[in-house]
Amino acid sequence: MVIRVEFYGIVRQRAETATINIQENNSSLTLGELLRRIVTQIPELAQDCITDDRLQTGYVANINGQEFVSDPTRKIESGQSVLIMSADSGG
Amino acid sequence: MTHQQNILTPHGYHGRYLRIDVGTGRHERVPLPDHVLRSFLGGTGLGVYLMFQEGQAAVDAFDPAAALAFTFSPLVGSPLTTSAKFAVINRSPLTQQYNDSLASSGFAIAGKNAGWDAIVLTGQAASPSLVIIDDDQIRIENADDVWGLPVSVAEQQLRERLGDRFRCATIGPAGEKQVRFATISHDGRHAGRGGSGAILGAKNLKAIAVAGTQQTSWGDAPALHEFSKDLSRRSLGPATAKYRELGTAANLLAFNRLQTLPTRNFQLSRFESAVQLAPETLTNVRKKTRHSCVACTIGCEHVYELGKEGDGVRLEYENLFALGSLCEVGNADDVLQASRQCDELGIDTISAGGTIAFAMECVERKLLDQPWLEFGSGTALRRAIELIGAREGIGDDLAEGSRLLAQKLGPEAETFAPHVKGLEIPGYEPRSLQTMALGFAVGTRGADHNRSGGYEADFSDRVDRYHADDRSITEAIRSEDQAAVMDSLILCKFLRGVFDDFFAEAATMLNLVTGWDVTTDELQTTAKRIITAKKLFNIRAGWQPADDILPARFLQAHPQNDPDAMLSSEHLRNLVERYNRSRGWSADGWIESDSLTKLNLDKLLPTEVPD
Repeated sequence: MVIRVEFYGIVRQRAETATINIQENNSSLTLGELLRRIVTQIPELAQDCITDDRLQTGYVANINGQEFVSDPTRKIESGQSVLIMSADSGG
Repeated sequence: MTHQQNILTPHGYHGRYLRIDVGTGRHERVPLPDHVLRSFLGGTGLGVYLMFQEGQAAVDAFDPAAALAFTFSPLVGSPLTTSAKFAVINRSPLTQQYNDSLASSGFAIAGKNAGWDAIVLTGQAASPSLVIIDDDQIRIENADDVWGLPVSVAEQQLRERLGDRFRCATIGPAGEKQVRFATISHDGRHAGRGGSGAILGAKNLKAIAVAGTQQTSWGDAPALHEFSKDLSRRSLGPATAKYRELGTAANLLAFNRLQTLPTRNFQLSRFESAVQLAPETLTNVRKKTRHSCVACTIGCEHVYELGKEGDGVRLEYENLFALGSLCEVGNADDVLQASRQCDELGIDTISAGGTIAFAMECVERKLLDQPWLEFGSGTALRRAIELIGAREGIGDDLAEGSRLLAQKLGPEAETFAPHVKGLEIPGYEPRSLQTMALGFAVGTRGADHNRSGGYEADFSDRVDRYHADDRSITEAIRSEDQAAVMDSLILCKFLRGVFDDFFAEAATMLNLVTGWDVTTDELQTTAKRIITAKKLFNIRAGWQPADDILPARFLQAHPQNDPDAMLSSEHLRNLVERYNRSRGWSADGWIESDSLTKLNLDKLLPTEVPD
C-alpha cells in the first residue's frame, strides 16, 4: 500500500519537502503508525511536530482534504492522502 | 513616576476616561467606578459600555455627535507578552452597528501612561486638526501640513514635529475622504475593520498623539513578573511557531488544498495560482524581515521586500486572500503593491478586496459598466484601490462598501455582494466551514473571523465542517466568549494556543494585575455580559433578526469546485435559532429582560437611548 503525505506551512519547511510517500506491506495503517513512519523518514519532524504517535499541539492532520483526524488508532487506507499542517489561523 | 492610585481604583487602572469635544476643545475627566471596570474589563468590553454612555446607538457614524473611543486595558504596560494593544470602538459607518477594532502597540502604552483608561472623541473640528494628549494637558493643533499625506509619511512628519515621546494613531487619505472601510494606523499596524478611520476623518482629525508619565501600579508585582516570564517562555513554543516562522500567510496553500480559500468573489474555493502568492514561494525570491510589536515575544510580522531596497510590505493571509484569490490576481508583485497601497491610504484590505471582487463580478454580469475592472487583472485591482482612496469615479461607489454598492445596482447584485450586516466576509469559505458560517451570521460586527473563531473548530475533528450541528453551536459560543475576554484584556489571539485553560489563566492574570479575586466563573459571565451588551447595542441601533444571515449566494449554490459544500438557508436559520436559545435569548435573537438582569446589564447600562 502507498499513502501520500502532504506537508503545509512550517511542517513543509521543517521537512524540506512538500510530499512523501509511505509504502507499507499491510493494507492499512493507523494514524499513529503513519506518524511514526514519517518521523523515521524525516527525523527533523520529531522535535516539535510529532511525538511518538501523536501530533504536537499546534498541528493537525487531515485525510484527503476532507476529514480532520487526531485519534492515533484511526485507520488510514491505501491510496489516501494525509495532510499535516499547522492549526489555528487568524490574520 | 507611579500614578497615585485612588483608594477606590483597582491596580492596573486609572479609574477615569478622557472625553474631548474636538469641535470646542473642551474636555472632561469622567470617573470609571470599580464595578464598571470589573464588569467590562477594558478594550472592547469597556468600549461597548462607553458607546452606551455616549448614546451612540441613535447617532449616525458621520454625525458630529458620533463618538470614537480608544480604550486600553488593565494589562497594558504590564510585563505580560502581547499586552500592548488598544481598541477603537464606534458605531460603524459600514454596518451602522456596533464596531470595534484592535491594534498594537506603543500607542497603547503611551496612551495609558497619559493617565486614562480610555479616550473618547466627539464633535467635529472646523479644519484639519491633531489632538495632542500629554498627561493631563490636552490641546488641538492645526494639521494642514499632514492632511492628504499617506500614512507612513504623515507618521514620520508627526514624529519629527512632536518628538519621540509621542505615539500617534493616524489616518490616511482614505479616512480623510470618509471611505467607509478606512482604518486607523499606528506604526504599520491598523485598527482595520468597520471604518473607524472614516469617523476620525469626518471629525477632521488626521491623528491623535499621546504621551504620559503615569504608570499604574500592579496588584502583586512579583507574582505578575513570574507569571509573565512563564507565559513568555510558553509563547516561544510550537503553538506559535507558525506565526513566528511564516506568519498567517502560511494558511494560503493549506486552505487552498482544503477548498476553503475564497476565490473569484466566492464563486470558487480553490485558486489555481495560489502557489505564486504563498510565503513558501515568496521567501525564496524576496528578502524578508521579521518584526514584533512592543512587548511581544511572538514576532508575527513578516515584511517582504518590495521594489527598491528598504521598501517593504507586511503580509498577512487576509491581504493575500482579499487582494489575491478573491480578485483572481495571481501575480505576487501586484498583490504586494496593492497591499502596500491599502496600508498607505489607510484602507481595510478585506473590505477593499471584497468590494472590488464584487464589482468585478458585477462587470462580468453586465450590471456595472466598467469594462477595465476584470477578474485577474492586477492593474485593475491597483487602479480600483487608488480610485477608492481618492473617491474618484467608480471609486466613490466602491468606497461605500459592497452592501451599499449592491443596493445601488439592484436585487441581482444583492444576492452575491459578499458581506454580513455590511462587513465584507473574510477569507474563510463558509459553506465548507460551517461553524464559521454560523459565527459570521450572528456576529455583532458583521462577518468577522476575529470575534468568532469558529474556523478553529472546523479545522479540527471536534465538528464536521461540512455539516454543522449542535457541536458547532457549542464551539461558536465558546469561541465568541473567549474572544470577548481576550479582546477586553487585550491579549493577542496568536497566544490562544498557549493556554491550557484560558479562562482560568486569564482570571489569574487579571487578579495579579488588579488585586481583585475574579474567578473563572465570573470571567465567563463577564464574557457573556460583553457579548450581550454588543447585541443590545445593535438592537437599539436597528438590528433585525433577518440581519443574521449570509448572502443568497452562500445558501443557494455550492462553490463551483466543491459540490459537497452546501449550506441551505433553512439549516442556517435553524442553527442561528439554536444559537440564540443557547445564549439565553429568544429564538429570533431578541434579548429578554431576565437575560439583562442575570448579567446585571439592567443596572450597568442606560435603559433607554438618549434623545
